[in-house]
Amino acid sequence: MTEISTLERFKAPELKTAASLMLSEPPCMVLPNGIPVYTFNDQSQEALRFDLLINAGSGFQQKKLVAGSTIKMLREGSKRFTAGNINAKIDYHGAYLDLQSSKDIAWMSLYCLGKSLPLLMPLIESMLKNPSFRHREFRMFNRRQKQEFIVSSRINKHLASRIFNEKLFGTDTPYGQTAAVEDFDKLATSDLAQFHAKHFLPANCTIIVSGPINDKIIQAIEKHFGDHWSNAEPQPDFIQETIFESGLHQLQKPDSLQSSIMMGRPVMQRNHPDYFGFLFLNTILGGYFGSRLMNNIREDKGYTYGIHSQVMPYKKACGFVISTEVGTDVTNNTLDEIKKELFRLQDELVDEEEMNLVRNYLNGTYLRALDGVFNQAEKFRTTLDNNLGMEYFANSLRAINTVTADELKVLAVKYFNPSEMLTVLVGNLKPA
Amino acid sequence: MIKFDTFTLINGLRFVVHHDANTPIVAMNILYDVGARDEHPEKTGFAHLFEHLMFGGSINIPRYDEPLQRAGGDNNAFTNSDITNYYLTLPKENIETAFWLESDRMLSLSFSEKSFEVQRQVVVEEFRQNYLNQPYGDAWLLLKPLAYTTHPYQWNTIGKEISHIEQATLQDVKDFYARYYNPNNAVIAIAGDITTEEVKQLAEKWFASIPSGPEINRALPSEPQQQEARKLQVEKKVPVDVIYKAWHMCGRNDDDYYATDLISDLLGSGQSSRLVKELIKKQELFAEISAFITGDFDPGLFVITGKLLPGISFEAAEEGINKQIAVLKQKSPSMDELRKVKNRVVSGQAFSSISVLSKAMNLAFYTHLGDTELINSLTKQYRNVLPTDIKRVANNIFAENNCSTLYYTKEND
Repeated sequence: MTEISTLERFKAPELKTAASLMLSEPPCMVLPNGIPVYTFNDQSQEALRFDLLINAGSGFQQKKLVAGSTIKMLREGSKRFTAGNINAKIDYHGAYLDLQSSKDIAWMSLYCLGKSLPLLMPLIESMLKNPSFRHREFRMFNRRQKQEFIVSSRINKHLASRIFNEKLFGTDTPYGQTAAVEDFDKLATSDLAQFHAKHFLPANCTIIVSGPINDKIIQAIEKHFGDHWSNAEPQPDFIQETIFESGLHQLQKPDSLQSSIMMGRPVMQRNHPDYFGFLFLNTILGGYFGSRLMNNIREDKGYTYGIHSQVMPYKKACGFVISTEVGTDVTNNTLDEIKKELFRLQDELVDEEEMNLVRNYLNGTYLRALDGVFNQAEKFRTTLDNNLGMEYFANSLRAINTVTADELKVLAVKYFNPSEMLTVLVGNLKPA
Repeated sequence: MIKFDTFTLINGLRFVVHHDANTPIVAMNILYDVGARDEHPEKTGFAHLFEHLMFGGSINIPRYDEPLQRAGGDNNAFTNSDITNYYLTLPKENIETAFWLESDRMLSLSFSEKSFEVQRQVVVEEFRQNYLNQPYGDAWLLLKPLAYTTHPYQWNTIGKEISHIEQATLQDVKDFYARYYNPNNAVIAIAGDITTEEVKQLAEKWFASIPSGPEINRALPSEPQQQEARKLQVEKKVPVDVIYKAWHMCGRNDDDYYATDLISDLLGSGQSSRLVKELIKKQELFAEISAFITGDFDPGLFVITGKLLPGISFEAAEEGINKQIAVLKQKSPSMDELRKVKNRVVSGQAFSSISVLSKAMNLAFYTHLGDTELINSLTKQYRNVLPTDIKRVANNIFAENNCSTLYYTKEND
């Protein structure tokens, strides 16, 4: 008989170091008009993703809402296809088209089966190059957007993030501009057409394809996006001169059951030597489920369903924010606890056990974030902004595994001083 | 084609294994066959509160999250009316950590008084954040008790009211655990670069010694056929009028489930769907509209909901919806239109078979439904639906006396 050893359930299985991922730069083909096409090939899957990125984010707009409305209105009809044609065709192929914009870029993301891509390219081409921006469609579109805005304006979290954005970057700067409900009424189709003519040029485009890529797909992309469709000169890039306003900004909402809290500041950009260390520090503070803020404010005090901190890396500036929603009666207690955690990181060294925990967790996070071609393409896209290259991830991993507690303390002293931060409160606020 | 193996331990715990060598990540999904429908009508919100307590430490391991994060892993969970589902991913080298953690919390929890107190408060804040402090956040808290008089689906997973959560006791928690959190009431699916043999060894080592629990004989009261249309109008501080219409439909394992799902797609999925095309674009009655099914195990709901445009009356909006339904009842859709919604299912399947996590979740869920092979045959089930099925099922569902309607009205400022 073999001896059966008793299971020591209190003892964790031995941990092994996961094989690290080596990611090289994706193959890049340049179309005759200069558009780079990056490919992440995987023949084992049927699903494909096609991303067309345009340097046409809200930072470029001269009037509020123009960038977002221009990209979204592409769906509402082109010279060759009506809105009805476009939607029927996309739906028929079981495809999904996402039109979005950020502060820096606008993008069209098409999700479909690999075999459908060549059939959908003429549609995407026409939408990109020759949108019609018809009046009736725009009127309906704009009314919908306005109504959505009005509904979201009843949510404290959204109100807080609008105020936070203005104070973080400066109300009248490209990044700090924030729409108000009247802005919808000032918008006209001519604004969109002008913005399109100025920015939707080959020189402003980048294409990323991930999935089962073959010659037919590459040929279709070249055929539909490779020509010189516009003679317009690319516009100079915009300049973001951040005007940060620290201090407390409150908005009273008497009926609220909870207060929305946002606290943060501008921080270094991704190519700054402090950046990777700061990401590590952010993780300890509020960047994962086991973070200090979650442990203290949710798991110990039960003040909130969730509290998080994150770094928001844009192309020309970078923000850091702690955000949560808490019961109105514990708003001030929560602020005190957040400050306590910020000071603790400045005053005490993070012990080796916690350093190890976060190191291992982040290593696993990278493995997950770079698993599969869709994730790789998505991550690659984030490196384009600052020309970081795929080596960014290798560097980041190296930093995760070498940063020391002493270095983190120095960073905390440098960046985590609450009195240098901006605090936004929206909710039913009792006088402090 | 997704290949899988299945085996069952002596204590009744079922395993499904899918081998995928293309990824450094392995996913584990544990489905417990217990949901909000199993709650006592005076103690609702319990299955979900319990899900929170599952992270408060088990008999031999004081904290669940920390060792998992130390192994490079991540996890989450959700509760719905039918099931409580826990899932995690981690680097394949550390898969044993998942077996260690999950087997210990299946064996016994620590039932710490502190964790219980705190999680009760966290769930109260979750209730406020997602249901009370949001425009329309309580719509489902109103709609479900209107649609169901008898079946436990009349309450939401979060619970009927905050007081039920506040009044929960640690004894309630222990009883609930003893009844439902047993190997014979769970399914574990694992997907990643691991063989069935390896999984078997780990399963034997960590799970086989956990004793089975009592067999669960559900005797849930079934919902009687609705006899007349039900209507509810509420006035709240919201910026826009919203209509909700809910009809009773079949359960998840009914033959007509797939036709019903396709009807919801024909009506409301995608920009070319009938409701969007007709009621948003052509008639300009709504700003947004959607149609969907709840997808519950027992007979669920078919729901249409839309935000009215300013100046449109509820009557006009409802009339618009009813006309589209009448068309569906009179005339079968064309082959082309039906093919469109079926293509959507096919591409949806292609996208959900990429990550090991979604494969593990689906394998566990289909095993729970009673047919693991559904992960491959699902598209066929949809493909088999005929245009005449759509018309027939539409006639079964869309009767006025089978419908509950909620007018969520904005207060006059």
